[in-house]
Amino acid sequence: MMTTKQRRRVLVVDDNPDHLLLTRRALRAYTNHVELVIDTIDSGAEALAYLKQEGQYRDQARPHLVLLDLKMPGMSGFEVLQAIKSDPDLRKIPIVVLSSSDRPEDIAEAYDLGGNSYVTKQVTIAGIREGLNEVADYWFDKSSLPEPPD
Amino acid sequence: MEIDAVVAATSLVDALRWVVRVAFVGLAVLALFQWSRARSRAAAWLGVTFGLLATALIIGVLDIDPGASTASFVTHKFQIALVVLFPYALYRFMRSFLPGRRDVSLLVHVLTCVALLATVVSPLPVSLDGTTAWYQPAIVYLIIVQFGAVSLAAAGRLWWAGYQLPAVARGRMRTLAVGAVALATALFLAPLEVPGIAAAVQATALVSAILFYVGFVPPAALRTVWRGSVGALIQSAEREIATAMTREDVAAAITPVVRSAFAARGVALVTAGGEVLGQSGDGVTVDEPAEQPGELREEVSGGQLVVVPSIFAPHYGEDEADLLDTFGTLTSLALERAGLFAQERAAREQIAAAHEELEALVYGISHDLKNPIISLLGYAELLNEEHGGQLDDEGRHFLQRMAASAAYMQELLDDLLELSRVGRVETEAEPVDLAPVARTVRDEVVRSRHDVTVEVSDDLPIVAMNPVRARQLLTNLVENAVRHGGRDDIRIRIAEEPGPPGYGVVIVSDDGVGIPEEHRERVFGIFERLGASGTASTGTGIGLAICRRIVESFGGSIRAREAERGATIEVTLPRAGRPVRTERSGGEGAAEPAIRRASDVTRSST
Repeated sequence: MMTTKQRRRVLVVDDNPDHLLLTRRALRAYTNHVELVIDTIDSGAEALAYLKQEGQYRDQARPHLVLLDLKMPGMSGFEVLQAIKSDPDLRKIPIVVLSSSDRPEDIAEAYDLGGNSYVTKQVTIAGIREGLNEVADYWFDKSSLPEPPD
Repeated sequence: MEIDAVVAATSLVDALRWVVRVAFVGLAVLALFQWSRARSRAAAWLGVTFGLLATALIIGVLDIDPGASTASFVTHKFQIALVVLFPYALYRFMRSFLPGRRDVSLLVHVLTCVALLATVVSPLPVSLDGTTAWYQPAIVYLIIVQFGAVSLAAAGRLWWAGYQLPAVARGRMRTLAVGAVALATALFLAPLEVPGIAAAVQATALVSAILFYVGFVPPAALRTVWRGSVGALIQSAEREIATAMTREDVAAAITPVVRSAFAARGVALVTAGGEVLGQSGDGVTVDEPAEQPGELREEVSGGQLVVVPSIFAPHYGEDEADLLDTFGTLTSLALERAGLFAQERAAREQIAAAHEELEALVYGISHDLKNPIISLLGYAELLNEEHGGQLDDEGRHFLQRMAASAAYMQELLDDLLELSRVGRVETEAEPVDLAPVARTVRDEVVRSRHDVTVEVSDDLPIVAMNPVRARQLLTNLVENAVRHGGRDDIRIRIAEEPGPPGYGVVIVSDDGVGIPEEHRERVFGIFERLGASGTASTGTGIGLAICRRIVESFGGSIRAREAERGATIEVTLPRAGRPVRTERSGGEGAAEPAIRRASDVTRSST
């Protein structure tokens, strides 16, 4: 009998369409333990609308995990992070900050606002894949996740 | 013969009397003239004082017999009243310099009024040997008391004022005080008709007039004498000003000295724009560009020295102007020096700011370029993986070259970021034993490059730096040797060598192609690479620059030594635990023995 893999939804937020594509490709190849549904959004404001189920996202299911870029025009990753973590419904959703910045100030700020993890973006495709594999392994296999709010 | 002597003596006294009268009138006129020019109260009261006396003396010339008629009686009374008023006028003269106490002032006024009243009221002429009425002696004593007390009080205060004042003012006040006492004494003794004393009295009166004159408008020569040694003043000014670093410091140093030298009320150093850099005392008004009467102004570099005279020493002449000129020159020099300091400080701050900005820029650029590089590399690799089959060999080769270039760009950026981080981030120094660090680096390098041999001496110095930076330093040095050695099977040696006291020296040497002499300094520059360019394997040319930054940030130095074979990089770093001395003993390997005793090792590990 084939064990059905659990479905996990991942939201990737990044203003750079190339990075969104690369990340999606890398995650698509992830097949350990879970079946991933990957949603990508390229702006902070839209990501919040998605999470709060506003407008066109009225019936959107909430994700199990969010991969969040920091440096975005308009609403920055920090602002999105703060908004999510101060919302009683949304704050249980783990947020992994995925940023090219390795500045201590940014790292500290991310955790200060309630970010669950901070991962520096890799440069090579192999690096991206390996890094995301490890992140996915950690969050979907090693850790236990709550059911996302409805 | 005796009669001749008496006649001669009397003529002398008469002559003196006339001289005194002229002197007093002259002094009164001078004082009034001074008052009309400068409107000073002191001049006014001096005028009154001597005016009173001069008038009394002139009346005396008329030689009126008080008993002759009512008119002459009244005139005589008037003459007495003038003399009674003299101490009051003297008191008011003193008061024009100093504030008086209210109770004393009240007493003086009361005494004077009473004495005046007594003079007016007494029906018969007052004389010292008069016994006509019972109250006459009382009146006489009263007048004597009033005269003596008030005069002495005035003179005493004038003398006392001198204690608190600098040289010229003190001299002046004391002279006036002595003059006042002399005059009061002369007046007191004047009614005595004893011939011998009369001459002395007139002489004293004359002397007092001279003293008043000289005290009131002291001639330059006297002021110079009172001022004392100008050289000493200038020396003291030079001393004060020597350590002044800013314009405000110069003002704070020079104004008190000038104030003291000129016995001024206030001295200020002001800029051409009217801003007060500093002042001593008060009374300086900078709003008026023109000189106030009595003020002295001296042009200095970028401004003026303003000297406001005090009432105690209001007269400034040629000598003062010359002295101020000297002070002015000193001040100008000091101001210019302060200006240079300020310029130099500003330039240094500018450079530091520009440097910071540059560092921030390098950091920012390196960072921002990361994202497009990720995209570039990512697509190149994806293209290769997913559509590589559709390309021919050449196409795939082109893709590979693109990917390699992007990867190289990334490496460059990482190194630049690292370089700027070494400059930016302050790291605390702690004792770091380089031997285990070197062994770790050795193990890592050998793991990835199997043909390379790295020998690490058993003992390496324990230096004051940061463990992470130490690792970075040695890694970069070894990597550099591997990259530029020119051979895959290169041998690298890390060892200690003797160095200057307080410093540890480590050499990283290899047996590769070496560094040509003309490039030995250049290799530490950014982007300097001496091998083939374009390929990632030869590095970014920043590694040694990072090494230099690390070493210099901990107070050490790094250089490429001349070597017969291969390259030798010499790193000098302060030893841990010993204070770093700024002066180094000359030459290499001068004092320290090559072999370190065990006790040396334990000592240096504290």
